[in-house]
Amino acid sequence: MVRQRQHIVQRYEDELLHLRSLMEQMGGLVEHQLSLILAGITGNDARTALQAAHQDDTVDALEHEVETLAIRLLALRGPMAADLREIVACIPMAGALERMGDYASSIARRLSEMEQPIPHAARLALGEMGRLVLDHLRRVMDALERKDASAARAIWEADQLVDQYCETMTADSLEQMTLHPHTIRLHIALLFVIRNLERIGDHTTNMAERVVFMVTGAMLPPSRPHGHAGQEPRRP
Amino acid sequence: MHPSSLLLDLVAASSAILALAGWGMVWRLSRHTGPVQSSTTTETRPDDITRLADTIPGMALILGPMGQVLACNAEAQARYGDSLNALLRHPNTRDALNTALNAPPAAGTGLPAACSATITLDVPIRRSIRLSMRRLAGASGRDSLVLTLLNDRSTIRAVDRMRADFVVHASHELRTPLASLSGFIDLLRTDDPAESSSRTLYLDIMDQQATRMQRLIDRLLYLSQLELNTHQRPRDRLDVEELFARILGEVTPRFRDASRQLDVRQEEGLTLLANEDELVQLFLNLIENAIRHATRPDHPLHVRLQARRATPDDHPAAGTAGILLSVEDDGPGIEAHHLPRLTERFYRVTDRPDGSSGADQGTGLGLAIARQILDRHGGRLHIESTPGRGTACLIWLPAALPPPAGMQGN
Repeated sequence: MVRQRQHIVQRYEDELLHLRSLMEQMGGLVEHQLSLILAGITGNDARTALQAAHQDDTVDALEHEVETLAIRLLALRGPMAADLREIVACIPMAGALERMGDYASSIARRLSEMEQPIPHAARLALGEMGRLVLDHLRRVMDALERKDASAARAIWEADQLVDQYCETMTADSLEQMTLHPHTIRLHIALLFVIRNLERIGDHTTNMAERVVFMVTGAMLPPSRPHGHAGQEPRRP
Repeated sequence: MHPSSLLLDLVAASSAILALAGWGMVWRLSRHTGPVQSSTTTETRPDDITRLADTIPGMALILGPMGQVLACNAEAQARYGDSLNALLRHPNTRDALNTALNAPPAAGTGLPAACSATITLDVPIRRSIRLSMRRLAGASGRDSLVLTLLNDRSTIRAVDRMRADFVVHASHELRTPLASLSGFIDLLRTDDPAESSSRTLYLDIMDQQATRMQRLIDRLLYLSQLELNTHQRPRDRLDVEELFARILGEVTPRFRDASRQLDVRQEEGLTLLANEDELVQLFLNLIENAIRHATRPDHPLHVRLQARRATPDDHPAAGTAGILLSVEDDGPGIEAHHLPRLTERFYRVTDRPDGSSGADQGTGLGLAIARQILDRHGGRLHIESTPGRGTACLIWLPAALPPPAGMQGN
């Protein structure tokens, strides 16, 4: 009897480990997609970027696997408290990662379809914005793995940096379009890339919210700080 | 180390492996990932696995079949503490792990085949790491153990990158001053030699452009040099008092006249792990920026240099533990939407509230250099500004721990 019980506990813990492992794999894949895009942008190499689009199916398959396993755990194991929150949180987090993967593939395809090379200044800016978004994703994945609510909260607040990037770069592109109408096609493509990066940032904050919920059981306020809000410098 | 003690270690390691292989291994393995431990299982980690990892001279991890870290030795923790999770969830790592888990034992030795992968991480700093993995013979299925050795390849990669980046940046940024130089050379050639006043003007502009090119090249080279060292954390202890004394020595001459004032405040006993020259450079860049953009003629510029311990109330982006250093000014300030992009290379704020730009333009690299220096120190830079009121550059750096007594040094 004791043996059997031990066996059941072991199975349950294995399944939980497996669920975490799947989430990590998904996060790792999406991070890799973003890395490929970054390499494509900074190295002016669309072929590298396009590899990101090829990983989309794997990300989708993993999302499905997370969902199936999470539902199975909920239905069969009756998890409680922290475990319950973790398993429930995994479903929307996998959804967020899947969306990020989609945006990454869409950026990769945009980059590969560009007819003109991206101007130097825009390439630097886009590379920086991409690095920022990738860094936020890395930090939210670390927060998830380490169950660190305060780290997750910090990213939730830091997303306004991404929004500000989006804003200034959009303004730059519009200015270039008015000044040099022959670059309109290029800049429209760039606007899509900027917008998609910003959406990836948004999904990172969604994940951060879930991590906070998973660890503390508390929900963050529905409106998060936004780039437009007035910034009062806090004097040290 | 004495040869006989090394031998003893090897014996200990092999006996640990034998012990692992022999036992049925029914222990519960809790997960250990970096400084924060997951707490779903409370049972202790088997000492033998930890001991095996600790015995290996070099960066080593022992992974479970689902990629969970069962042991991580001090070398790996010291070098990759903050990147370990990202490294392990990378698809290339996962592929290598699966290959290692399924590798059949070789006919002769009975050892499963080793496999390896190279991983490149872009954040928080660019790193390239080579992983080598081998499943430990004897255990299988859910009890499999995979020994993982890490090798840093960042320097080799960084040299390649540095060259490429330097060429790209130099060729783009030098184009403008060069075009201006050759333009004025043409003018001088065709100009009426009698008009000496315009000649002087042309030569002045050419001189300015040449100086600008010189400064740009110096800064680019400095930045490249910093990039090469990014993945080596400074280990020297540096007292903030000493640092501030040096900075003051460098900038005091610029604060002699009444239009500028410098004010220094610092807590006592603050110690950083830092490279002194680089931090001096960082502060000089920030102070230089404050001076360059101060353009209100009737209003003296106040610059405040400050150092104190960070508190939980501080801005989360600036860090809540460690040491907070800051340079604040009451200059014209910067519009909020520029703030996140200030550390970008060659990003220059073109619509300053006071309309300044042009003549005394910087290289656009000062803050990029500042950020590069902080990346290497594991620090962060956060800039706050209100147009018309001033700018505050907050620098967060981890504090140096008191020197460990009796602990093994890393």
